[in-house]
Amino acid sequence: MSFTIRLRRPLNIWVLLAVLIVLLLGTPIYTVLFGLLPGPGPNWSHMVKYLLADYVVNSILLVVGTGLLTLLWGVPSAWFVSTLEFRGRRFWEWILILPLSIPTYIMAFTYAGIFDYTGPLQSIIRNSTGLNLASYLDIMNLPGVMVVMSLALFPYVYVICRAAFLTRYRSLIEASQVLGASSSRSFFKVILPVARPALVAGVTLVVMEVLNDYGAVKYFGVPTFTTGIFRSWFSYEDPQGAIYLSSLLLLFVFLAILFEKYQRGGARYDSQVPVERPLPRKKPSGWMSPVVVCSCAIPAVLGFIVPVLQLIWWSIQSFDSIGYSKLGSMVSNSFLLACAAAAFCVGIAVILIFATRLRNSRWLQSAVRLSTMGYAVPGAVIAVGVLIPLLFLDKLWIHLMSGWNIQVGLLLTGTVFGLLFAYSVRFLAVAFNPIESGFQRVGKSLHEVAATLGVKPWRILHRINIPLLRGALLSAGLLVFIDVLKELPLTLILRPFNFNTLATRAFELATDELVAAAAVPSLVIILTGVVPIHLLNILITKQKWL
Amino acid sequence: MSAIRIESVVKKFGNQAAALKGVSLEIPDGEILALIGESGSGKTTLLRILAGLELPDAGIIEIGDQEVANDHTFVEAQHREIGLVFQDYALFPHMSAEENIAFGLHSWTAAQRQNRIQEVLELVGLSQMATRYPHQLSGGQQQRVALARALAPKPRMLLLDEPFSNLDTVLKDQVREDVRKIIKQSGLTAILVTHDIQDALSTADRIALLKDGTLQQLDTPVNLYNCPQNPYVAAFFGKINLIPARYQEGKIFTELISFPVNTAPNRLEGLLCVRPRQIKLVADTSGFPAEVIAREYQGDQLQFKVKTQSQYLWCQTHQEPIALGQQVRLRIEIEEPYLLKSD
Amino acid sequence: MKFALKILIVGGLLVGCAPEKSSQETSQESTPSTSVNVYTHRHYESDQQLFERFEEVTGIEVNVINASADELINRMELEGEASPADVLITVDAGRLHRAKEKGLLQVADSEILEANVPAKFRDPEKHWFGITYRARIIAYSLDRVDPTTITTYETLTEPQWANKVLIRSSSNIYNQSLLASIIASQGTSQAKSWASGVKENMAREPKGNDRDQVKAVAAGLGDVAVLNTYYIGKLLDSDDQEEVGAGESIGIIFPNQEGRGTHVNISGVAMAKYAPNPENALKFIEFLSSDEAQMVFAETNFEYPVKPGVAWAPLLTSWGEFNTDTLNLALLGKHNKEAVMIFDEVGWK
Repeated sequence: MSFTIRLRRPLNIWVLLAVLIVLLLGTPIYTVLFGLLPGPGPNWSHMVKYLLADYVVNSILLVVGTGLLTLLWGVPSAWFVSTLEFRGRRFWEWILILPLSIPTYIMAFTYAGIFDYTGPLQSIIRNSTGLNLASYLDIMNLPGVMVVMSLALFPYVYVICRAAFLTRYRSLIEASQVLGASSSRSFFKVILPVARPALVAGVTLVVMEVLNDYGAVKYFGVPTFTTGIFRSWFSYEDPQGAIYLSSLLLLFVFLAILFEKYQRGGARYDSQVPVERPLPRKKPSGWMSPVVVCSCAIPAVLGFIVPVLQLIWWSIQSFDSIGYSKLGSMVSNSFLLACAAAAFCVGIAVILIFATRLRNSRWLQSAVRLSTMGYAVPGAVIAVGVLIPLLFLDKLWIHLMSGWNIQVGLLLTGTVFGLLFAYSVRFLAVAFNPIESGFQRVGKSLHEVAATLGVKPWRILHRINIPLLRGALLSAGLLVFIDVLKELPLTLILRPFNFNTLATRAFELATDELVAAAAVPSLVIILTGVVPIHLLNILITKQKWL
Repeated sequence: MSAIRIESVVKKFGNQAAALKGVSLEIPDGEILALIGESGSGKTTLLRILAGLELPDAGIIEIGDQEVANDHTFVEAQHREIGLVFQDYALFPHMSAEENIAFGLHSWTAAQRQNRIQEVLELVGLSQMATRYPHQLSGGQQQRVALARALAPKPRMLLLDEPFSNLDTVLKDQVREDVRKIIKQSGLTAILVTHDIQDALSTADRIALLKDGTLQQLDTPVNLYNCPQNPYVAAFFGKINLIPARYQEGKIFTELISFPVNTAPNRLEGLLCVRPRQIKLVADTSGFPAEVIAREYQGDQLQFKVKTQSQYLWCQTHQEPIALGQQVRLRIEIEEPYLLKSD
Repeated sequence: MKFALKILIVGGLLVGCAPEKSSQETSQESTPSTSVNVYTHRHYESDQQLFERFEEVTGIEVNVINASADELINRMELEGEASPADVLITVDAGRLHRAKEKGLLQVADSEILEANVPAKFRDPEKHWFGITYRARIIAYSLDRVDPTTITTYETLTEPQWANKVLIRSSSNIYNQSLLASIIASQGTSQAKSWASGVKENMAREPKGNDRDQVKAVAAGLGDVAVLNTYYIGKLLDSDDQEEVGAGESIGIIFPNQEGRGTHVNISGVAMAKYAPNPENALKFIEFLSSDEAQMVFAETNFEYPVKPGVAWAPLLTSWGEFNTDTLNLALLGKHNKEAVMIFDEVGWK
């Protein structure tokens, strides 16, 4: 019955467009899932017997450990900088976002270098005291990779929580303070439970990044699911097994999301009280001061200042031995690519969310949600999922043209187009979430009133939603920008000829065991990332975010 | 001819109980109808279905002589030519009052548009405020801008969702009167959703009372008050005492007291509807005895609850001071008795 | 406004990227072609300089995609006949063998190549050619180890080295090739007991890269390490005095000199089956085997040049000549998968 009702509504171009986009963006994922059909491949029993348990246990430990650590770094610091006034607050508030600009693999290489036998820490100790602490300062293990990854990823939690603390929960904080609750009490009893969606959103991003990482875990010698995917694919020459593992990973992410939804049950956590006044910040009491400063300083120093100093030191060391001729083109490639991908992702996210506004149906919403799942799929797997359908189209085109005796090259895969498409698949979720929250914040009634005034959807989008969502759109774009700047596996595999980005160059040098030489492009990535992050920070403090 | 016809409209949300369980009603041209009910009664859902913002699961909606929703057609909100005023007014915060109003007039020529904006601003009395932004306007002014914006494209009908609930009590009376006047001047059919009885009584020509997705009664305010069709309707419009009674030869007989009436009631036996003001204190022993157990001041009058031999009753008085625990004697005075069917 | 801006940015990008696109298209449309498309796993700065030199000398433009050999082969496979790749460069023979097995390579018939590349460093069927070779050697702590006690890879499984052996993860291709060479010469069960013996003697879980193994020896975490020769060169050549110190604290041994010889692997080059510019590809491959190119490889990257007579880097010369494993390098590819499975079975991560 419900089907006939759906058909009663006249076809809507936006919904059609959204469905088309969902189908298109889904193709890589369908391609991967399609690989599930022939079964797990010939090496499956070998894998199950010797490796799978290790992969699963390590992945789970890594996800849980890193997730908890990012909460530890991100939540208290976000709480303190948004509710208290203390020495250096503005400085820490800003520095705490910056690790966002450091790719996890660079963080891993840098920290490995710092704790290395020949690194600064051990060298100084050894040369001054003669002590050899090599066996105690080994960070290349599971706990080490958790800490290093959490230092690179905690800003996801910090940023989202701070935005929440600054905007949404202010009235709740005030209410609990009026009721006589201390700062810490209002934090644990009121804010933490209410801020749960923000925490979950932040940690979800962290988890997906962790599951996606290959460089850091490989270097630190911690085999995870992603390791297994690559091992199966390349070492066993068994792409089927790799795809099977990827699908399992996807399933795992699905279940995690479902579980969270189920566990949250019917509880609603949105507080919709709009407050414009800034919350008066209090000074921390005597014994709290050091706690507050440490909560902010530790993640900021370890997550940004220390690795950047190390990279600067390396850059100085290796300054003469690097060719700088290509640096300019790498910077412009990285920058343009990131801008274009940001525009793509934001545009697509707006269309999808707007369509769900127009047609409030469950199947459309689920389909749209599904198309953001690419974020959980390892980049290398997406690359294959992208290559297969695009190459099919390319070959079709070449075939058609050869009928006319025209020789053409690969139009989609040999160019930036394939790369942009892959970025959209991968990073749609990054743009999607802030824009969706933006739509929620603006509310449905403006849209509905505009609709009853007989205004076409395009005009509603253009005149009402876009102007009111400027902050959210910009935030989303900046987030994608930063992510693309750091992105590695897709760029490596799908880039056109002679196309180097800062990330690919840094990675190449690092994998050639030229970590010091990799420092220069790494630093440039970080510097390029700092500017949009600074903008993002302004948006958050002016509360135009979410 | 009726401007709006709603026939057997059903709407369910997910797995929940149906929000509307087959509601039918007709509204003649130019009438202001209030949809009233508690929250969850389905009144807002019905409004949204009329606006084209929700899709009914079954039933027919007819505006003018066009069926805008039935089993095989559904006209989107964009094409229904209706005006909608939200509870929070939903003014576009980044546009001035006149830009808000102009938003629905995009297909008009510039000159026509300018005239129309002036016209509706005048109608709502805000000609001086044209260039102000929503945050620079008071709540009442914002509401009038929202009304002007809804009226500007000359819709076929006007829908108002809890239009007065965000206003201060002091303002309300004036605003209700203004809104009614403006709607009547523009000659529109209007439907107003509210949970506030005063809103409904003072603004609407007729009132439809909804409960749990079904229409309880659709009638004029006076009839709803005096001739409710069931105890729910009776109680909805203020305190009421339902006393088992029967009529015989010009007299009403109850367990407490019997008294003569001028006209015969609608049925011979049932529950007699007695409003608190229809129970009077008497000084002598002609009344029935009761004990005061609760009091409630309501401005210039006092309502009090008594316990009699058979049931509790709400009564009302103007002058006498009443103390808790006081023994009183009471009398029922009704000219035109109305009896509900007893189960 | 915002939209217009976006369109502008996207437009700008596409225009900005147009040269790349068109260069690739022209490479296939115009005859005679003036470019060569290279898929390479090598991404050394020195390679880039060589490519530029080739452009200077021949006027043929070199277009490059860098990625791991696995990914490049996978991409060539997907691209099939439409593949723009002319040349594939890898850092091991196994991958070249795999590409050949998958039918992605073609015969490169060239007297120059046959003269420059000794037979043991090229495919007998002329599908691929080595450009450099690297030896997988054993490094030992000068302080703690008597070098005469180590003679072969098999020594590492002896009880005296319990908790003293440092070697990187089994996902590394150099280790896979080493084990494949043992499978080829001694059979599966011997290979398995070797892997299991090394695993038992490991000083720590395998982690890090080859350089890190040397540093771990210097740090005293273990006494012997397995690694490729050129990493020691890079350590000694480092800008960081501490790294140089670590490099100086170890000595090296070429194992199995008495028997089959030290395990070597090549970095090699091949012509793609569907190369759109085969003449240029051949010129390019020949260039890599020339004296000029071979000298650059030897000097800047501490690799052994395949061409006889080309001078080695002074460091390599100081280590002296050694016997290389005579095994046909194609066998490394053939036994690669089996090697990985053995690693899994013995729990070598």
